[in-house]
Amino acid sequence: MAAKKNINVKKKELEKRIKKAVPVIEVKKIPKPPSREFEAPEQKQEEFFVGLHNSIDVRRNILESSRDMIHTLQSYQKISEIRAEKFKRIEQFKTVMEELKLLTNKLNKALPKVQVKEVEIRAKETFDKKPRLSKADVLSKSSISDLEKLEEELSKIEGRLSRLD
Amino acid sequence: MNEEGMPVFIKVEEYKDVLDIVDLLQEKVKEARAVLQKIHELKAEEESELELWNNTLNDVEARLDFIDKSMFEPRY
Repeated sequence: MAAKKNINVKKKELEKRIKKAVPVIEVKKIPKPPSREFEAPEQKQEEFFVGLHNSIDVRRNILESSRDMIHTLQSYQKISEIRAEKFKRIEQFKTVMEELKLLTNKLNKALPKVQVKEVEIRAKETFDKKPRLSKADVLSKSSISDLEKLEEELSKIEGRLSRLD
Repeated sequence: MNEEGMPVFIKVEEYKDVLDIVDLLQEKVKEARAVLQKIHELKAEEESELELWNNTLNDVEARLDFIDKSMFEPRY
């Protein structure tokens, strides 16, 4: 008990010392200097209104437009799905056409090569006359695009067809 | 040389192969036709959606015109 009393006394002494150490600042209210500006008497600004006699129709139109926009955004999702499906089908079509091309070539090979003999001999002759390709030529040849390859194949077929006529 | 009108003879084994290839070709042509049909359907679907967009845009434009007139041609 005595120890507690001592602590309380010490606390009070400390508080007194602190109070003495910290200067007390007094806050005074400084009156505002009178403004030099001319204070006009309060004027109420006139407000104008425009009458909308078909306000319900206007509101209906706005709401309907919003609704249509939302429908369009929903259909955007649908259209992108359709497009994805379409591209998938186009790829499928391309694959089938490639298979058809392979089968046609197979059929062509399966048929007896009666008329082609002469053409083959000619082709061999021209092949022998050709100079050997350099490395750069080989590289450039390998980079021929699929489209160019198809173009080449087409011209070969056209040549064969013209020989048949 | 094969002259026009002259028959070409194919070995029986090869003939069977040729028939098989022709069958396969016919199947593939059918498949290609089916895929193309689907592409046509999808294209039609896509176009109808785009037509819908066009109609919506026309409607919104007309509504906006109405709102514009209502706002700028007030009655007193």
